[in-house]
Amino acid sequence: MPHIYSPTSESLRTYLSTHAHVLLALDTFLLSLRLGEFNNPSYSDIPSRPNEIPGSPSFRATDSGELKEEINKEGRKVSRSALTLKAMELVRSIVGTTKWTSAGELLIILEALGRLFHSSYAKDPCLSNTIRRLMNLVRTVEEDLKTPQPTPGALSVNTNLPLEGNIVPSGALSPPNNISRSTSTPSMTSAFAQNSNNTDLLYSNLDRFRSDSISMSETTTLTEEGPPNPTNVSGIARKLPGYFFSYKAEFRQMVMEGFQEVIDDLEEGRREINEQAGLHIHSNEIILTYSLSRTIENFLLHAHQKEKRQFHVIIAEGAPHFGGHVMANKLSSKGVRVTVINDSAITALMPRVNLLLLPAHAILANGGVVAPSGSHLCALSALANKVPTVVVSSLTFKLCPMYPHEGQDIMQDFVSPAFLGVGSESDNVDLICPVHDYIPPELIKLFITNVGGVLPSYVYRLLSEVYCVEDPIVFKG
Amino acid sequence: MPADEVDREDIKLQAVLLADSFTRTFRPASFDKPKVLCPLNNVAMLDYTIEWLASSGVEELFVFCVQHSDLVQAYVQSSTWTTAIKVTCVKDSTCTNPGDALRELDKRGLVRSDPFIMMSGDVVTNVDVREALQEHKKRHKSDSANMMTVLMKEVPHNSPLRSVSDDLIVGINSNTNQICMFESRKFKDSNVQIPSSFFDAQSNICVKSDLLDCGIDICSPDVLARFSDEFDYKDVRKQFIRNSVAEEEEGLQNKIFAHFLGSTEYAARVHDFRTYNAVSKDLIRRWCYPVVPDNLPSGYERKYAYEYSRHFVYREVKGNTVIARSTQIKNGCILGANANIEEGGRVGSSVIGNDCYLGKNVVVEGSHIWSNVQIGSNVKITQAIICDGVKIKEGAVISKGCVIGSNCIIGKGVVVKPYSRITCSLNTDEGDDGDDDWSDSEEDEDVKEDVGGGEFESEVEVVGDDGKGKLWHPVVTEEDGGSSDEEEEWGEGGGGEDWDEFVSVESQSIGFDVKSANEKKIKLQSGGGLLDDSGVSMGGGGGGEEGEWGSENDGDMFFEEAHVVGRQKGIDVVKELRDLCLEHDHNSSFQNLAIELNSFKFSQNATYEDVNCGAVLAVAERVKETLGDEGLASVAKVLGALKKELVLWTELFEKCTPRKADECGIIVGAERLVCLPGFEKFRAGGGFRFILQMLHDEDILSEEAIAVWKGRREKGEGSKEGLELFAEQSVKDFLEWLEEGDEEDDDDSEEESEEEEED
Repeated sequence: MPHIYSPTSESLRTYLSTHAHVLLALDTFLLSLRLGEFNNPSYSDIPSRPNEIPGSPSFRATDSGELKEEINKEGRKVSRSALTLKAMELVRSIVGTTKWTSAGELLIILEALGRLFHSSYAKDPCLSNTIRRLMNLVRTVEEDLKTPQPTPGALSVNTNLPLEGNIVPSGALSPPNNISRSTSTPSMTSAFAQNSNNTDLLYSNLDRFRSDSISMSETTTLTEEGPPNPTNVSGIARKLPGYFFSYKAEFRQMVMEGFQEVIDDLEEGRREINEQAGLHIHSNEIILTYSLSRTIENFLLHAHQKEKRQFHVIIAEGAPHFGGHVMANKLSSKGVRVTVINDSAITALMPRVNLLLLPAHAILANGGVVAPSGSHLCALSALANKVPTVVVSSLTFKLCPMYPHEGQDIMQDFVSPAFLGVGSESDNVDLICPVHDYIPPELIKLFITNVGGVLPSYVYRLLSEVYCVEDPIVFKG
Repeated sequence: MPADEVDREDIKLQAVLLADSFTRTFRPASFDKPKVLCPLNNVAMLDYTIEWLASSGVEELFVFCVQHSDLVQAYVQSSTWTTAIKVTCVKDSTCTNPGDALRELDKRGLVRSDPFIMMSGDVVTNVDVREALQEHKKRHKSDSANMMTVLMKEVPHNSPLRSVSDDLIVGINSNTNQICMFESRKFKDSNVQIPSSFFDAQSNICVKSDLLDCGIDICSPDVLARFSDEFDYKDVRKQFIRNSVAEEEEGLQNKIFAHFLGSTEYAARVHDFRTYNAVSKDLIRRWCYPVVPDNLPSGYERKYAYEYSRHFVYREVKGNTVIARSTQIKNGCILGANANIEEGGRVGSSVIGNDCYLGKNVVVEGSHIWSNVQIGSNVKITQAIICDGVKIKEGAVISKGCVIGSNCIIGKGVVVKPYSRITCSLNTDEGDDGDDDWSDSEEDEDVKEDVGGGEFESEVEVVGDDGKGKLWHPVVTEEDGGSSDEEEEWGEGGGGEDWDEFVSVESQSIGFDVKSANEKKIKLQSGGGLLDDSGVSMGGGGGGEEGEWGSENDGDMFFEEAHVVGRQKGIDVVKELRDLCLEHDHNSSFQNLAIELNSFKFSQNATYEDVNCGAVLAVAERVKETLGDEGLASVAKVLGALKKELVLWTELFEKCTPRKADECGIIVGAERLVCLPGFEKFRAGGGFRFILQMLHDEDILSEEAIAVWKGRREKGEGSKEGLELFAEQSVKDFLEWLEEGDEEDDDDSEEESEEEEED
């Protein structure tokens, strides 16, 4: 039975080599990230595709209600929640079918997956967020399990490590004093800004650590006995304490339950957002929104249908993808009064507007938002006209632990200039078609999220509830 | 057979990839490794296609290799592709064309899925093929003769992705997208033929010349069977598709349809180095999103990662790429892993491969440098392809359109001429006619000969004393027995009779300007007469320097037969103009006649030269009438009469010569005049010279006009009679006299050159 020691794609592949169908599912998913249905700017209205072709491995039905329907209906145009769900299902199938034995190993698997997604052109931060969330879940479960366990047993558990036989040759092992080299790592007060390169160091030393953890079980036991004081243990040990590599019978069961909860969360998110619609949308209001967003669409429909509010929606078309046209059709078919305007008319119309609703591609740690290109213009114009800008978004997978200066590559993408509808007649003309805008927190009045209304300045607090500071911010490597 | 159908549905989607293009347009780069393994933006072309096929849902792929089949197989086996696709190599070294390959596949019976995708290994695309697959399935179900769907993209006619020599014209039934004509137009033809029978069968035909054949087909297995039946079919496009759509007899028809790509979908084939460059540029500029340099195919992401930065610059970030501060990188570049660029360099619109070293002050523009290339300081490379392992020593200059084959060495300070292709492979076939790049059996013989011939000898005059490599010339194909076949094979880039070998090499190189080539083509097609005035430059020196590209001679071939656009067919414009002038009454003003002539000129797209020529001929008619036979015998009388008449017409000539060059028409008219029946004696008495002198004396002809006319005749332009007259001693004397008269105030130097020219 293979084990996994480092979060690289090679070791993950070796680890999965005995599970051909899982590996196939993973590869298919990665392909669809790179070239397939997921690699579309989420706001664009790229020609929707006909139904599934039987035999194509691209999209197999998932087993969760509403989102699944969405996938089938929309063909290739996949919503980001569907993408997240698909990724979750994949992770669950990998975690559920392979024979990992400890929380530590599971964390390595998850990080390897995170890196795979990242290197597969996953511009969408929701994938790494999901992975990070799951990693946090694993840590929490492990911590919960640890507490009731009598510590004296730890030593014996450790010596029974299932990994024993698979450690690197002892000749390559470093002396114990090597462990202390990472003590310079600052404590976690500023951990979010921490350089993710540290993780490389962590994992390159991991095998070493594990072998050391046996030879130096004394140290490990000390850690477990003493209160978790980050300053008196070495950096590596602090990152993954030794008990993470011990086998616990009920762990798998609890993790799988936790996974299900996260999946449920995804689906609940939209309902919880919709329930707040009545609080924010009032009758006879004029609401401006930009391009296409399913969250906003559902939010508005809920206010219209359930809360019986009569309001008027102005939709900026969102050139050159024209998601606004789709949005207008969807809303008007349900009886909402809709006006579509060209993007250049946003400032002209803004004085009449009561509320600006914007979608989010990602919510950053400082409360800023990555949104479809053109949104910044809306927000600026709203500010000038004293119109409140409200971002409607679920936090479950859009909340990112990074600041605007980090992870630049995730925050922007340039799609084919063919969207601009002009040919390149001359070589001297550069045509670019960026997808996203960054809206600074100062322009945002409020977030309407699945945990209620949140101010931009409060966002960083939410981070620590869902992510662990020790997990990488960007899955590079 | 319902059971059968169910089975068919269950079979996985298969694809056939022809890993050999069966052409030699990629030489000399393809001597050492097959074209499909050549790097395009630092990724082997094969990887683009396989990645795309996998993402399109293809589960089993057959890679058909002929040339270098071992290399392809080794590559496929060693590659860590995704598990989503099963890749099998089919090797057959005896095939010499795509037709053979398909027959071989049919024989082996590997392809079972209906439909299957057939594509060539040098295609880069982001097409979502699923829609086309479904359409095809539906069509095939309704009629089993609907056996093939060809993917096509609308591109501007001038697009660099289109072949210059091979202009594809497709007739399409716009209701059903059925292809009913598939012709490629040679460079200089302006006409294509449409069989009239199609107008009965098809109601709504749209003939398009702006389509790009993407090289991706969706086929039913019947296509393979059809190739087995038609054992002489060699090419899928030029023979199978063309003949199938032209087949008129009901029941024998293989109906072929087109599927058009959406506006944001991209597909292009790398035919030759020119299209290689164009496709590379498009990828860098993200036209093929998500196939962009920072999104690497499976397997690559473990070794490399590219980061995109402003102005389309992509840098490798996993390796240790070092770029000096003072080096300018701009305008669409890719910098590979472990590239090292020293101070003062300039890299623009270029791709630099892995492990390359560029010395100080190196300038690289619009070029492709593959991996492991060492470039010394002060080297200048423009629009060239530098293959793996090349060394270029200090101060060398690689001019545009060059291809430097793997492991060549370019000596210190050597200037490589434009469009040179240099190789140091022993595997060439120089001087050996009838070789086939794609045929192992024949190539083996070549190799033996070459090896037997001894060591590799460098051409010192090309690569310098310290260099290694020799010039590679494409083999002219006509000598061989099977010349017609050869021509077919060449066809893709080359052009048989119209294009000589050199020009076809040029058109397949980077730096060839398609736009102006097309403009020239249109000019050629619309009549050579326009060519001289506009002086179209082809941006690529025939002999080396920039300059006119096959200009005048080319033009001349079509000077006479050319049909002028916008002119009634079969009309002799000069004669009509002459008749108009004859009708003119001396009592009315020339103003009226000028208006009349002018309007006729416009209606037939004629020139002022034609008008002047017609007027002179009208004068000739009048003189003939007044003098009678006896009068014509005397040179002096004729001249006198002509003078009297021509002076009268001066007013008209003035009106009709907005440019001095238009006065040439008068001389042309005079040329024709002296050749008219009845003027034989006048001509024999040196009449032409006297007319010239008289016209000059009377200020009807300016010296500039005479000079223009002289220039043209010296280049050999003009009718046979005109050239004969020009060669007459009396005319020469006159011209010389004229020249001397000029040079009384001028320098002597021109006189010397004048004499030289007349020798």
